[in-house]
Amino acid sequence: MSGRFSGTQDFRRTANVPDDVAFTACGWARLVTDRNDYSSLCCLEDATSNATHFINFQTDVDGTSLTCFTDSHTFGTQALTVGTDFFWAITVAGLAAANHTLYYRAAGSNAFTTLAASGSNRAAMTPTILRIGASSYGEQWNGRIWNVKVWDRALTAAELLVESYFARTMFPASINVHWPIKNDADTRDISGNARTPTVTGTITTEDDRGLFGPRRRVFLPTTTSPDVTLALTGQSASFSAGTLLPSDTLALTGQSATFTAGTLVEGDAEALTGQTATFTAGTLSAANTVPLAGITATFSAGTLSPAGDVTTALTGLSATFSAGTLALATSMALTGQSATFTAGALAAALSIPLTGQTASFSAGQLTVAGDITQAITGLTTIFSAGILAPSGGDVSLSADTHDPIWNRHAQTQVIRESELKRNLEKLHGKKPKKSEPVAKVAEPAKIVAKPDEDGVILAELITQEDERMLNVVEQALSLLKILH
Amino acid sequence: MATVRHVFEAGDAEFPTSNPSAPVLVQGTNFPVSGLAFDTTTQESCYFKFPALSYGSGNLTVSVDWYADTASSGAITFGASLAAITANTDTQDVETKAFATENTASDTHLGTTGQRLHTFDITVSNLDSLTAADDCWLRIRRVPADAGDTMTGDAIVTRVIVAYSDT
Repeated sequence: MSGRFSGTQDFRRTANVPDDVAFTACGWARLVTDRNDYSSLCCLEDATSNATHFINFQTDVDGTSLTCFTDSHTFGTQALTVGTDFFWAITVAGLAAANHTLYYRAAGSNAFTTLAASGSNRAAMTPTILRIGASSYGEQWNGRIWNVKVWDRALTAAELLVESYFARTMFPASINVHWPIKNDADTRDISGNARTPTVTGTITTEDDRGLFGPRRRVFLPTTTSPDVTLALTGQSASFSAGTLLPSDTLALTGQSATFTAGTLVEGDAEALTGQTATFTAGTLSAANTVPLAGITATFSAGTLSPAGDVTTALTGLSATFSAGTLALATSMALTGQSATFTAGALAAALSIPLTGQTASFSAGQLTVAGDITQAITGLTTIFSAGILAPSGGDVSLSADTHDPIWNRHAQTQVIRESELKRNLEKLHGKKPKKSEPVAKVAEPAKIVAKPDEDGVILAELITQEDERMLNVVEQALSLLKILH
Repeated sequence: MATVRHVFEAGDAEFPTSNPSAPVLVQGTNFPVSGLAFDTTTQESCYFKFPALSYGSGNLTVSVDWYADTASSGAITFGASLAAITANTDTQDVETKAFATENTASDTHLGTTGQRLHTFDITVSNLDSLTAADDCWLRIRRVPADAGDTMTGDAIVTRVIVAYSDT
């Protein structure tokens, strides 16, 4: 945008006016209306009205021949074309004609036309006013003017050529004012000197010609998950992110491998080998195999969901799963010295073979569904749950010690025949026929009856030498289950 | 490992007061073409300032896109020089900082069309102890006095790209 001068307007300063023997003024302009009269771009004068001494960069009386007037010099002329943007500049470095140079460059040209001066030295003066768009004799410019820069020195042609291409001041040494005049309200001085113009009259806004400006761009590599194998080997490898999305193989080998994320989504095989392998996430979703081998392997998540046709094989001295919800869609094989599952809800859809010294399931609700085989081989097998509901196939436990917590009274109790009869009476509300003992137990046979809160009874026969008694006891057990 | 690139156009340049390369804007047939014209006899230069973001190691590759103003044969030689300052660490006065030794490269006009676009690389191996996040100044200049610079007329540079590895 630019300022349109069309009558009695001008931009002026009467303070900090440049010296008449060391100054440069330049800017862009367009002649819109040929007044067929003197039309001023930039005037440095010793009076506000009818100045005696002046340096006036303006057209001749024909309105289109750009030249300059002092009180003694004669300059060359440059024909202006109505409607054509052009860059103008004047430099003054002394009183002699040779110290005055005019520059003109039309918008489509990349080279200056230089207008030299001739004649005798002009008289020295004390400028009192710098004016853009008019002179002390009127002589207003009828057209656009913008991006006016004024210095307290004479710039070289090379400097001015650069300045002509750039909106900003490229050589700010000795800058006096820089008036962008981008619209009718733009009276800024962006030189840093705070020398705003006094505006006479009211200019309007029109278009301007775009100039060079900084457009530098920098391209940085992205930090999102790589589309290739992420392999990390080292003493310690740590990932910490709000969202961690390795889309391909994630191989981690080292003393310590740690993943911490609000969301951790692995798309492919994850191989983790090391002394310590830790996953901590609000959500941990493994879409494929998660082989984990290490001394300690820990999964900790609000939601832990390995899905799909997966095999979760865990080998190590210690394997721990801890989650608010642990949902295993298919097989999970866990082998190790210690294998621990802790979850608010633990749901295994298929086989959970668990082999190890210690195999522990601890959950608020432990649901094992489908055609499942739970084979647990180990020295200790522990189920701890508010609700433990195996359904479907067999539940086989093979271990030296079985200690289901729901059997809270894990004690050996000798039940004598008389006591058994009374218990049966209580259960069935009738006395068995004397001739038909429901059960007869001969000492020293021992029956362990362990009712829980729900009345589920598991009885275990302590070692019997009398096979017949064993059968009787078995019959009694069957009767009790049926009655319950 | 990835590559960081700083892209500079003619409008990004800064200039010396003496012998600056000349900005040009040519109204081409279908679109304007902006550039910086480097003289065939006078050594002219310009500067680009950039932060060495994510600089890892290795040389800088300065890619210069250019075309000949009037020639259709011959070769040009350009030089690239780096000045790098580590803020808060270097005690060097920024206003008197000197460039490291210039690295140069030449390129030959491919002929056929006079104003066809060329590109060539200058490997900047004199890195002035460059480290990541340094304030950097790059000087680009034509070296007409070099034996490899034989092309007549201006060489107009349309774009400069500075590239380096982030590892």
